Amino acid sequence: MAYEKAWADNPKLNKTEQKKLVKDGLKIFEDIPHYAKNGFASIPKEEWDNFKWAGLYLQRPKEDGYFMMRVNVPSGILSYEQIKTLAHICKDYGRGVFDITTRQAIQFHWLTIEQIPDIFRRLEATGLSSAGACGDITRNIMGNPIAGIDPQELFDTSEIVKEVYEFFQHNEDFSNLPRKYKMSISSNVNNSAHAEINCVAFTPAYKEVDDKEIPGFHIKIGGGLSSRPFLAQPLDVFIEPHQVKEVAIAITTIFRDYGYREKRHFARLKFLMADWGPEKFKEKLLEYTGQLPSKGRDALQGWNGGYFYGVHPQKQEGLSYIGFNVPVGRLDADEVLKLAEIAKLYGNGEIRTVNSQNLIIPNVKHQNVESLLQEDIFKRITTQPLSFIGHSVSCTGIEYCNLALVETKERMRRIAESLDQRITLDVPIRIHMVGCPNSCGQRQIADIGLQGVLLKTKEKKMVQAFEIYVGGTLDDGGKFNEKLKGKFHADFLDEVLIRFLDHFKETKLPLETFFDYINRVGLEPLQIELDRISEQLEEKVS
Amino acid sequence: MYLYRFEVSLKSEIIPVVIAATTDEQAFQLVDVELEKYFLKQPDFEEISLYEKKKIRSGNGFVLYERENILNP
Repeated sequence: MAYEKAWADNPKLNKTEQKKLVKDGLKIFEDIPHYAKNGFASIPKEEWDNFKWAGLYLQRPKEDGYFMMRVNVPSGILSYEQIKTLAHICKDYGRGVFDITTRQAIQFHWLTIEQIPDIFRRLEATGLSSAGACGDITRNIMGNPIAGIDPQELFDTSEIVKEVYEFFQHNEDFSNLPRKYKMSISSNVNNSAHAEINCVAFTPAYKEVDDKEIPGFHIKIGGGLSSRPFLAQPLDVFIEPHQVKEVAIAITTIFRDYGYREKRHFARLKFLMADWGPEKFKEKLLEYTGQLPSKGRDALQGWNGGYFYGVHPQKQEGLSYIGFNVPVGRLDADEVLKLAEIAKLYGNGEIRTVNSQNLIIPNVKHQNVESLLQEDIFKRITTQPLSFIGHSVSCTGIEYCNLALVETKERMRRIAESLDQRITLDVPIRIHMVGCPNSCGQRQIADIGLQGVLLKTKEKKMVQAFEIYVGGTLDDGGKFNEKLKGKFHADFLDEVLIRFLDHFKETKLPLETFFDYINRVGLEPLQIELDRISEQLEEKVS
Repeated sequence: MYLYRFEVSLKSEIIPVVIAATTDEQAFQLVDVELEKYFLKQPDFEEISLYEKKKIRSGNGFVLYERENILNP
């Protein structure tokens, strides 16, 4: 232990904190071979939570002993060998289910403890890791999914992300944080790494130094969704690219040493930031880093929602990157193997994952684009998805998650399909569906957020239902969506949305976005319309 | 075992109810039991909504402050 745990003597530490003092989360890696040899029954129940540090959760029902594994993909960049490795793990052990997450990571399901050592070996052999993908530790670091090929980026951030990620990997100086800790580092001018919902975000900026404008970063601190969402707030500092690692370590040290550890629900960095405010946080940061220049010129131009569909020229002449839609982020292992071969044949084998649960094939010569697009797999994994399925996000839902109340992923896909068949708009609508208030599907930043609840009606019928939130964005600093009144039976949700969006279509201005529309008309007319729809639908829940 | 957060919607008020149970179904049944115990006779509810569940362990709980349900004026 290279540092003193200043909080160790606090008698009010919560139980998880007390446990972490006795045994660091990363120590689970030392125990896994024993458990793998002796089977699931050999794992004491009180050890189950420690598997998170190895990127492993027990999926529901926990007693069945199947694990979900999350694998880190810093910046979303995967080599050909890495993709093949992931696909084979998925095929051999994970029943073929391959999910892209909203933090650019990959998730497998149905793994047993006996399989984990071999999976670790395979991951390690290609430079991949699930360490810290869950738990109170630095999570997968989000980056610009087109880092290094982005014609508009200020500079290539892939190596910076890699350097910071590798510093925190298996680093026991930073494996006992108060809570999960999410970082993004990107110089994409369209905020593709969703800066405002990260604990710490490095965003593109310029600063005039000695009469010369240099590129670098601004930082935002204290964002996060979950059931108490906060938008990250900017600090008045400018960071040069070579300072990112040092500043990231300083901020993480502040979180480790000053973050709250008495109550789990009050432990994320966002709560410390909410208490301290940007001024005090900056002061504390400077104690670690020394003087930093004040803010320069923000280089963010807007927010693309993490969408990169279609064929785009790279900064490298003659090469294109191609953005594909993966419906609700789910592929099967054979599709992934096919995609790897295509990426190798037409590009350099690389595939990039995107936080919109989609993927990008980069480095394709312009003259090869057309032949690539003729491949059969791109009938489903398309560059031009229909609008709704192309902008739908869903959490895992009741299928695998212990906390979800309702089914989400397949339902979101079906609803998006239904909307695409029945309504055409001149702007995309981003719909995010979540199965509980914990926001793994980032409900709060959606144009339309759908949050599941379980209902018992007057007639004593149990039904899955959804509440509707409208007006979220991360444009211009961000705004969370707001709840409208009413709950809607899951089976009739598509009908509600169709009527609701028909009203939007009839009353919007040409090319007006959903967010701009709400700003113009306000929530009240939408509530009136939703109430009207409720009355029309006999099967309305409430 | 989970801790469940419910809201019971009556015509003109919302009653928060918290239940410890092992399954969602059991939790709903226990809401009825708790309502009966409290009111002696079960109130005439419009709906019972389950909003959230958390694993039972020290440090986990709910703050019952903001209402999820918005009553019509």
